[in-house]
Amino acid sequence: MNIGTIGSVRLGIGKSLRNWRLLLLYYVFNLITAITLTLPIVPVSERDFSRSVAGQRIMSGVSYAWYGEFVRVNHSLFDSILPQILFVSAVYVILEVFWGGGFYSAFTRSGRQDVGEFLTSAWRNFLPQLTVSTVDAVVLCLICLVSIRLLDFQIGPSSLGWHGNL
Amino acid sequence: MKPIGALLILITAPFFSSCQFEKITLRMNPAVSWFVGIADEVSSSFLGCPTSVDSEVDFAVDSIGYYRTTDLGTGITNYVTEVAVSRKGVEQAAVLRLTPDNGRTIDTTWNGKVTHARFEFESEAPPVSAEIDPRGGSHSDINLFNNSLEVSSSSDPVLKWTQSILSLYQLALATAGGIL
Repeated sequence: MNIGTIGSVRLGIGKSLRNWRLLLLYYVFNLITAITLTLPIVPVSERDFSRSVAGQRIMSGVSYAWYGEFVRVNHSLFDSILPQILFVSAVYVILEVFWGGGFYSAFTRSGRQDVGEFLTSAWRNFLPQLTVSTVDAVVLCLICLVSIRLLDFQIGPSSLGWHGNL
Repeated sequence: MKPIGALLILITAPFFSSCQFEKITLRMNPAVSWFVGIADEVSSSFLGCPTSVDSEVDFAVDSIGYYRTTDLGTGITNYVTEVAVSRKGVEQAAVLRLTPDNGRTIDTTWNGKVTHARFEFESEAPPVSAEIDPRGGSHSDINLFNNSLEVSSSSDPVLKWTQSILSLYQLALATAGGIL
């Protein structure tokens, strides 16, 4: 049955609304992970912005230049919390893949799922979901590498040593 | 045909890239060494002369304090502000700016010959902040966050900054989640 683009969008929105608890779970999971990653940065943010004129400047708008400056000045902090970032990211990715299997099941069946069914289908779909995600990630990495390489050809390869540590 | 076209572009791109600028790579977070490298590259390639770019510097406003004085004869109240500044790294002069709470600014120049110095400013209003090198004249300053100090601290910028970092992480995670 061909339901068309509008029909597909309507169907997707309808299924998402019916499974609002899954969307809430996804949002809360995302928020908790982001908070875990942000917490180590709070003390240095307080040092850098609470009494600095820079603090007043970012109140009118945060630009990406500030992120660059912040990372550059606090590079030792980012170096020290890198294992923590990697660990949290790895846990996030594994749980994301696990729940992806449950999401797939919830969105493809007509009736509603309880928590037990959701977890069972998530476990059942874990390996196929992991395979699909791995292929996805590899393809995306390849596309990124080719894009960076093409950009490198446009701007020039980084053949000199004097900016090697940037 | 599109994949073949993309492959052709990929293979032939190196032959079309400009030899003139092939050693120059754009950087999102350039450090001093990057600028020195660019300056050396450009000067040696095009100008044929060496550059004399010095190494890094870190200006800082260490403390700011003030007291009030009242002339008993005229009854005029003034504020005397003491600002302590320091410099790490190469000797360099810089402008020190005091901003009182009346919208005006008072500038003075620090020659930067010593590593620590104290300055006194007199103003009609209490000070709000002191900032060294406010125009960003020293491109080799390695830390711009300690270039200024406000008299009172505020948690609003910290909250805004933390919230922006949180949003950035959320965006990155949502993107990763979308891919996975």
